[in-house]
Amino acid sequence: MECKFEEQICAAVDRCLPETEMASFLEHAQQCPPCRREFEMQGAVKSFIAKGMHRLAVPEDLRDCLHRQVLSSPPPSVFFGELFRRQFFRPALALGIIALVVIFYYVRPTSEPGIKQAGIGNIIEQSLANYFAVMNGTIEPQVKTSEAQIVKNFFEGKTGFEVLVPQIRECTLVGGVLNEASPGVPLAHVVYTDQDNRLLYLYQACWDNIDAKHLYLPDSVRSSLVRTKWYTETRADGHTIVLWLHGRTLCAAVAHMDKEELLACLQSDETLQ
Amino acid sequence: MTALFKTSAKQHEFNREAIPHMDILYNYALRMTNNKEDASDLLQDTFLKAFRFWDKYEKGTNIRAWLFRIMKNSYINRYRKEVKEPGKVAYDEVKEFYNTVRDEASEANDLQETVFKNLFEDDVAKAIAELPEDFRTVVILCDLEGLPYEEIAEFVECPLGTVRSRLHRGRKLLREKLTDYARRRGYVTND
Repeated sequence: MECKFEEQICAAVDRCLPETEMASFLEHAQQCPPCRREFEMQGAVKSFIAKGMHRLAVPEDLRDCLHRQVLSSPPPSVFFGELFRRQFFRPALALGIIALVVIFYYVRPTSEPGIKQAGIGNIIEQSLANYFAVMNGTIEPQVKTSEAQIVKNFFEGKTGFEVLVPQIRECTLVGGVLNEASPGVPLAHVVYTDQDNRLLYLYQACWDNIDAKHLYLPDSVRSSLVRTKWYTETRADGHTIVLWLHGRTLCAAVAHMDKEELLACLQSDETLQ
Repeated sequence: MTALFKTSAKQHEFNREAIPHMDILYNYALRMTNNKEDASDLLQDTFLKAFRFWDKYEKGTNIRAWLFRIMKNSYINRYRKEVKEPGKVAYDEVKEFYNTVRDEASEANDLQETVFKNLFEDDVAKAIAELPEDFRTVVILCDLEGLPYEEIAEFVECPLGTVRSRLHRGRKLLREKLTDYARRRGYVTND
């Protein structure tokens, strides 16, 4: 079809022509069958697609997941910069620091060094508790995907240590959770399921934060990690915990498997050194 | 052990300005990938990156176009790897297709009436998915999402004339594909 009005057909269908040009085109189309036919056909296609194809809303669970991921991101440092510039902030901050020093000096805990409160801050117990929390839905992945790169992107820049999202044999990645054991002590959690839909949970923390104040390991576990870089323990209920060090990252894997089976799952260059 | 969620000004701003465009981006991702899981992954990737680089977004400019660009780059990085010549339309194939189309089909209105009313949404989705990517993009953005030419041109980084040309050819190809489906199902005969 060779007609000088041909290149206006599309714009006419989309009502994008100025009024005078639209009027000229419509007048021409009445006298030019090829242009009229093309105009009507394109209009029919456009109308058919627009009416025939339903626009879908983002699924609720995906929307919630994205909302949580945005909300769970730590506030940017810009906020603190602006806060610090406010007139009364610095004196208030100084008073606060003095008050904390006084409180710490006079009201500090009197427990003897070396005695750890059972359960609190113990990485082994925390890993198990989190595993059960994921299983019963108390903790839900903030990012839900089977793509490792998306989970890595989710954690990037937020933890201060390398978060592993390994390829675990015969397991499917479910997602990840980011939170803190205490302010300034980030934790990364990565969740998998195996072919029998059993949960395999990874808990990751920075080795530098493993001390008496925030997180700790029993002495026997710590010495095994330092010596051999890994530690395993199987509980009476059949749950196994495997700990290993990857650079500065302490990883703990928990699953309802025996030791050999869990180790076989984890065997890859990336996760065990 | 619970996470302490503290909503910052940045999060408020992002929720207010970017999140409302989630549906339109999801639909675009769905039509481009033709797969709900891939579309979900693409959407997540896009919004996580958008939030991470929120400081790079110039306030007051077209937020939707900015989000679409992020999605386009994510799509290119993830899904174009297998394509031999990513981003290029095989115009020789398109030209050959045009040459084989029978323009002497029955009157336009009768054909639309016969063809379109019997086709299902799946057929249309399949036909759109089979379009060359450059045509598919403009058809989705214009006919499905109703974006103006200027915004589409900004998104595909082409002049307005190119957008119009791709729309013209995309719709023509789509029409022929839908007619072909209808022919195979017996809604339209070759008489």
